[in-house]
Amino acid sequence: MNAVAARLRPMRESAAARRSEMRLRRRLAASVRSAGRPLAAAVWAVNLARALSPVAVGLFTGLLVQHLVTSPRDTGGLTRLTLALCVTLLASQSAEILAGAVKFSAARRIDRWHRLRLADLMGAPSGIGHLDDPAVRQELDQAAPLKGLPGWVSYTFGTSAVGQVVISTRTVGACCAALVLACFSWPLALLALAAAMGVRAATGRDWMEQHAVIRGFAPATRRAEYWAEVAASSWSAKEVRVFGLSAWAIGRFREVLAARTDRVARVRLRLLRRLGGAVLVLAPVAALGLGVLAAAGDRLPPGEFALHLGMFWAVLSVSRWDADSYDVQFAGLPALRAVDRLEALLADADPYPSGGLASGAPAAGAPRIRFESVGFAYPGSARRVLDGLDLEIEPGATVALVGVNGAGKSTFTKLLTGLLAPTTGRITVDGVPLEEIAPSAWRARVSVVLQEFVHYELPLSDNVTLGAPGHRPSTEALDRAAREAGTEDLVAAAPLGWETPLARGYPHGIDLSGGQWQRIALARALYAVSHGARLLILDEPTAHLDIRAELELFSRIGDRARDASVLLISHRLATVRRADRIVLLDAGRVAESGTHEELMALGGRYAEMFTLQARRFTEDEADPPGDLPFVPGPAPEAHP
Amino acid sequence: MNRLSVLAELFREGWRSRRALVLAYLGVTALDIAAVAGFALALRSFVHQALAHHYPGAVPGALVAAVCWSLSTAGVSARTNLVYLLAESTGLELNSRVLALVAGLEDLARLEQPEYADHVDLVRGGGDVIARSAWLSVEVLSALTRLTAVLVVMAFIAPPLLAVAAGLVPALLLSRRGQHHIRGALKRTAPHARLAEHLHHLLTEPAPGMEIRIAGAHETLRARAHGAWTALLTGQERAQWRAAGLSVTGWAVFAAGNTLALLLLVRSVGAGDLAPADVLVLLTLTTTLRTQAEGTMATLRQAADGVHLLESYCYLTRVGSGRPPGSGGTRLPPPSALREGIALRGLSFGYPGSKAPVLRDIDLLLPAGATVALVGEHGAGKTSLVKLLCGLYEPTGGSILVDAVPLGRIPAPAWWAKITAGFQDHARFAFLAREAVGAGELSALDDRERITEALTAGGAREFVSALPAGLETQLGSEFGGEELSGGQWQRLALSRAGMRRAPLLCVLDEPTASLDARSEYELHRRQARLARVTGARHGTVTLMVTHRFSTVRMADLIVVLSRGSIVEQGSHADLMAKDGSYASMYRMQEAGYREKGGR
Repeated sequence: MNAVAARLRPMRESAAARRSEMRLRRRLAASVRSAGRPLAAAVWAVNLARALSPVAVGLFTGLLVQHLVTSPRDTGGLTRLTLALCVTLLASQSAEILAGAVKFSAARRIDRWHRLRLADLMGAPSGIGHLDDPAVRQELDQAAPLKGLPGWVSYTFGTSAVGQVVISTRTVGACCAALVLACFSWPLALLALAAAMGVRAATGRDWMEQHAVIRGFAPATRRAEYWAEVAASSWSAKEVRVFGLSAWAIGRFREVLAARTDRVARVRLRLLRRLGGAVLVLAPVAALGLGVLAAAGDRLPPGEFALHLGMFWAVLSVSRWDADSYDVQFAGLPALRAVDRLEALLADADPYPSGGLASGAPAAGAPRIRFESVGFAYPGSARRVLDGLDLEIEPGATVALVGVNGAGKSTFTKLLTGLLAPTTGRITVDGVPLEEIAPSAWRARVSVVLQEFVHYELPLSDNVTLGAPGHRPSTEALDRAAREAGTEDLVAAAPLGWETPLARGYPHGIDLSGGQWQRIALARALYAVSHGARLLILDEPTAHLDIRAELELFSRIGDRARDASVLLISHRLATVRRADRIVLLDAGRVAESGTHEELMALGGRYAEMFTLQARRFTEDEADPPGDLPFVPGPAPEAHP
Repeated sequence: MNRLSVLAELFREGWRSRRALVLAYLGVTALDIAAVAGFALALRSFVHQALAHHYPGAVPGALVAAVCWSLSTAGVSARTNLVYLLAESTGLELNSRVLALVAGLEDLARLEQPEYADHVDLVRGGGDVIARSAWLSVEVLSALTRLTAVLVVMAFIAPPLLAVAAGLVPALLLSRRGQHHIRGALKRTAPHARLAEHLHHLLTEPAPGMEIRIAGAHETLRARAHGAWTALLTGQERAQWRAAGLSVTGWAVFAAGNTLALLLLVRSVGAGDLAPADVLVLLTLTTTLRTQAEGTMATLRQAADGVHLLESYCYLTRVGSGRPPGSGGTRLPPPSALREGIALRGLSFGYPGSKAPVLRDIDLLLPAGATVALVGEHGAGKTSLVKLLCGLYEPTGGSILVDAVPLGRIPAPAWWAKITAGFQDHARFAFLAREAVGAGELSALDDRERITEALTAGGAREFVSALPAGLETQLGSEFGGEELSGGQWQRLALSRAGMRRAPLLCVLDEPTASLDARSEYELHRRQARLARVTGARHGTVTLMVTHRFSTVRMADLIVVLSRGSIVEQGSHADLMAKDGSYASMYRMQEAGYREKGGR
């Protein structure tokens, strides 16, 4: 008994898998609705017309042939039948042509819906932890799967949804033709249908298997594409030439792709051999069918002979496999599964589980922020990036945050803006714990220039207004932000002024230098300040600017942000010293805090760092004693 | 190179490397043509015999028709497969050639030109698409032959039916015209497609996610994405519907001709000139004809996909290395060590197609063994000067002399092998950490000792040894590796620049822009020391471009650039004494560190 049960289990499981796949396929076909009702109806109508047209053509052919044999001189009747047949033929041809355009329109609209759905899913959590969660990234790749595939692969979720309709209607068409054929001989109809569907399934399986091999190579191919990019991109061009990397990179590229080509060639050759099998099934069935039809010639009127001959071909041609299966198998079904899993993964991805209790309108004025023994460790890591951090930012103060690379400065920013929640301790704003404030309400009071700020490939105006997108943009506000950030010359020189897109590849688009981008990011942050943000966070805001520009800019920001608090993160200590308070982070907590003078008097780490930077301006010895082995050479020249 | 010669080359390549496959493809194609013609003839015999109730006579026809039909059904699959097989093998070769062409472009100013960059974007990795179109063009020929075979059989039964073939001409022409619209729309809507892709990236990727959330920009960007998709859709849909309309019109013309021919045939049956069986055969064959014609069009469409890529490939071959042909006269090797230095004589440079020169009449000697600092505001021409010295740009006027050897006479790769550089916009190679540094001297890619030395000099040893797999750690999030901070990437770039042992020129462009105070200090000390050592041994010139005047003052020679010209040069003491623009910039930065400065 047990043995039987054990043998039955995999069968039951595979049956369950088949059922769940059928459900998914139904959902896929149903998602055609997202193209809009009229277009969805058109997809079904056109494809049904395509699938049923062989039956219609067969019927009219039969009628015409019958009439030709029985009354060849009835010109009127024959003309009508001929015209009817020709109209049917043209209709079937038109359905064929329109199917292409309908498929295109529907598929692109479905794609729009699908991509925006993904954006909504990823945008829903108020934090950022999920964005680089490997599990989420993997599902996202599955949901939009084209990376690492050869150039001719072009399936998308949209084409797969329409493709599922095409496959379904083809099956319906074959069954209808078989039903008509069954009127002549049901065993023949069944045999033809079984043979055609069998060959269709087998060939389909072979092609799928072969494509699965290509897809299996996708990760390796992405690597090969990366090597190609190294060899032939502008970002690597200088290094590739100076260090002579091209032959090396091309060699690595070839290595990966040659392996893929060989492996795929083996699978393709196997598929070619198996095609012989299809001929061995189809040819006898076709011969048998034709034989049976000819043998029945005595009792079969010529018209019916013609009709059934047509139906027989119609059933057999379903043996041709559906190219749309690629789309369904490799884009549609995986995308649906991935979206389901993404929804589950992102359901509770908010950093603060309570989800933020909206506390009415955001308070005006600069906030009072307190970090109360805040500790933080990234999920899956034991290392505490922050550990027992206590800090208060008074309203209107300029606080500078310094520390060596990796001291936890950017984690501090993420906690402050509610993108991450502390592992221990709490953060309050004006006395209210951050988890009790709606993230959007709190962030409306914050404005940032991040080290890795966003380069929007959008018009100049958008690049500024996206700092505070909820407000109606006005040219005065834009011009003011541009003046404050020192980008008015750029705006004036841009070919379309504020409407100039900031990337080559768009009509009249321009590329900006690092320094220009930085000013744009500053303009965006200042625009937000003039629209109600009262905490300005500046993370290395002048890394791409020269000294003159930096000084100029800071005096402007000082004027501008008088009624806002400023948090400045910078390595340039000459800039930092002007802050009301300087906070030195070390090992995840505040090591030193005070004004420049206080910290210099303290003689701690800050004083050491500052002296290091200052020494080379004030010291006469240009070549301080080093700890590297000294190799004899001409005596270094000392500069007075 | 023109399109035809590229195609010929591809076919030769296929014949050379995959002869059996080419023969198999030709065999299958010939068999398929025979099968199509055989099916038509056998079907005719079968239908005649069957309708005449002559059962035994119908059997041979049935058998042959069945076999021919099955063969041509399987033939479609077989040919598609063979075409892809051939395309994959020859496409790899073509892809490598494209990469070699781009990497072989010596004049970077050319690579930075939008036109060249656009062609590269199109054709890089598109080798298999070009190869596929090449083999599909053979497929078009075979499809046309099959079409002709069907037509010949039809004409054999009823000569007037040849007129039906004429009806195919407008159908094919109009559908071609439609394809032209579709391609035009694709090109026109490319910016929308690019924007939609960019916005999707912004809305789903981690890097921009932080700022977008803080600014609350998600909804606005989503609306933009919807807008971009809609613009893309409307532009392309219109072309699709137009193409469909043209196609239907074309086939309506064909249908009209077909109707007339069919009416004539029906009449001649009435007149007893034609058997009703022939009408049935002809009707079946008309369907075959239509299918074949459509197949030809589809193949032609696919083949056309690669044509514009082919055009880009030809463009790249025409540009070649980007150097003017026959420039420089006899080629000279670079000296093995510098004695005098690198001299710039009346050097000028302007980007191709731009009127304003970036550099004007630069006269300068970079003395052998010296550390030279290049300062100036944004847009002063520092980066262009660096690229000229690295032989990455061609001067538009004047010359560069390496110990009296004109740089133009030294083959670019030979000069590159004698220099090293850490660039400001350095590449962030998603390699293994060992490779990212070892790439600075490929012959030492596996020399862990030397790589560790370079890491020490670049100040990267500490963090690299803390990586999960040390030197063998995969970098970059693209491949699930470690993502580094800006400062860490910069240290790797510096370490890479330290791999070469005896360079004649070492360029360090903003080497410490993203480092903290302590790291910057330590790095400068090491670099200064190394510069003296290599300078003494090989006469290496170390050229630093930097905004940090604390570094600048240590240089042997300071060059101040402004608007493409040298305004001052000399040692720190000279320039301070001169009290010009260097002195004012220096004081401005120094003020930040003075005991009572700042506020």
